[in-house]
Amino acid sequence: MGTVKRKWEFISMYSIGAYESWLSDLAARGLFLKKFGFMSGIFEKAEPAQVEYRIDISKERLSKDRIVMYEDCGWKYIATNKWVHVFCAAAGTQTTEIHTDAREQGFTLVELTRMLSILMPILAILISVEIAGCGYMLFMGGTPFLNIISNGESIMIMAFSMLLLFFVLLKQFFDIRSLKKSLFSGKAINHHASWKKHKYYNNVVMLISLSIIAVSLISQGFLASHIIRAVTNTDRVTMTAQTTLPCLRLSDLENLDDAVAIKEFSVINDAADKDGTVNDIPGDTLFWRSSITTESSLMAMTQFEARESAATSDESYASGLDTKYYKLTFAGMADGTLHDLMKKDLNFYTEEMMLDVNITKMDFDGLDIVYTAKAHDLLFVFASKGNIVVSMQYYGTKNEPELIAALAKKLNEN
Amino acid sequence: MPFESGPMTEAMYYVLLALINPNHGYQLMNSIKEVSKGRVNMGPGTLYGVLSRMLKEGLIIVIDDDGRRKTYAITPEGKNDLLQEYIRLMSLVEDGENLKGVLEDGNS
Repeated sequence: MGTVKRKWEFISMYSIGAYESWLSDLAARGLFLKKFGFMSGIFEKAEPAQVEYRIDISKERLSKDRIVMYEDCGWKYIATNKWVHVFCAAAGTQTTEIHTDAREQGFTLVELTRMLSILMPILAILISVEIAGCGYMLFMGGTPFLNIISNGESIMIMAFSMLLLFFVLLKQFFDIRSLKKSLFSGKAINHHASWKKHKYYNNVVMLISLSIIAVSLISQGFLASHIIRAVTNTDRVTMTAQTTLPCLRLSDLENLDDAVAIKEFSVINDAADKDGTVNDIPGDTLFWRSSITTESSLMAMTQFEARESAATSDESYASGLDTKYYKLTFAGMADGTLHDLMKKDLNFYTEEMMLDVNITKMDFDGLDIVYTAKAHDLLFVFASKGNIVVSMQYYGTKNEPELIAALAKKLNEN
Repeated sequence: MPFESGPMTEAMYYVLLALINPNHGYQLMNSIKEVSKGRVNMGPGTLYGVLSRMLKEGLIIVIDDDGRRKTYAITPEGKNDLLQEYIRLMSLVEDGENLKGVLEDGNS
């Protein structure tokens, strides 16, 4: 027995003439089919030979008497995959063709086309639902840009894989149907049909599939490692005063020099007596709490959300800064992302608290676009510079121009 | 006619004709060649497809199966359909009688 070699198939087994001709050409190069599956075939290496291959389609398993009948005519059975059976004969040894009547051969495709005719509309519905799901994920909450940034890869991978699968199956269905028609019209299969164009088509499909897999791997693996690099000297959930962020920190706006960093404000409550007085902690002690969540996606490699707040235990002073930062892959998405951020961040105040929040567009040196808004004692700034988009919610001692100036200075430093 | 797709195909006609005498696959192919005076050389795939369809339609039955080969025979329904087809073909030929003159003129 010669060496066994696995070869990724380029020709669909349902393109009968081209597949037969491809197998014959491989045999002429010394590769003889042993087994075949959906995307690959196992070939045995031997001396090159002229071999004719024939494909027979039938839903039923091959019976012994059928194999004997074919053998009696010089056709040796090789392998079966689902409905497809392959036979071969050394050129000149067969006494007759397997199929001598095109119309009768057409009947062998009737069951298959009938099954596919039922399957294709079901598949079309399933894929439409899937695509609609992708559309919903994209437009959910009326913030398509933010959705693309957070779920863009999975939406893209899901939609493209589904469309590709459907396209491949649809083409196969139409190929089989047109072959059936051609057989019924009396035109026999060309057993030496060119398989080159099938190879090109399948190469394109293969390339698209590999691209989808590559995008999927990048978004799963590479991005995971990027998250760790995205914010330096930072573990993923907590910040210290030394944490470096490419954006404003609360300590840039408020004096937190003497603040005590804590994980949760509940620490203060835990230390308090039932009457609310705090044991051993002076009332003017300043506590500072911060956390950061980092994300990464193909549309915004660096993203983080930083939440910082500071307060004294006697509540005589409080300040806070929540920042969302996106370094977009495409600067063209900046404006749309800003609008989505405005919608998302202000939604609570406009929709749930029914507040009338006025958004003002401002021009500011060093920033491309700036929008500001106020709700209660909260100051909102939405700004972009190049491909960087920032949304901030702030309460504290600084006013609007000071906050924007500090942001512009920080963004221009980086 | 029990078969759904219009007139009997040539392959069906010859298989039924050859099965007037029960036979198994390979011999049946030779018998078809013989009965058609060498004109129809039926391949095993075509023969097997026709046999499967006609078995389902009850036009033929398996009368022996030794594990390697099955022997088929025509049923009364099969005989009836074969005769109907023969009559249909005869009337086709009769209707084309006037072509004889055309053919003779063409040959002369």
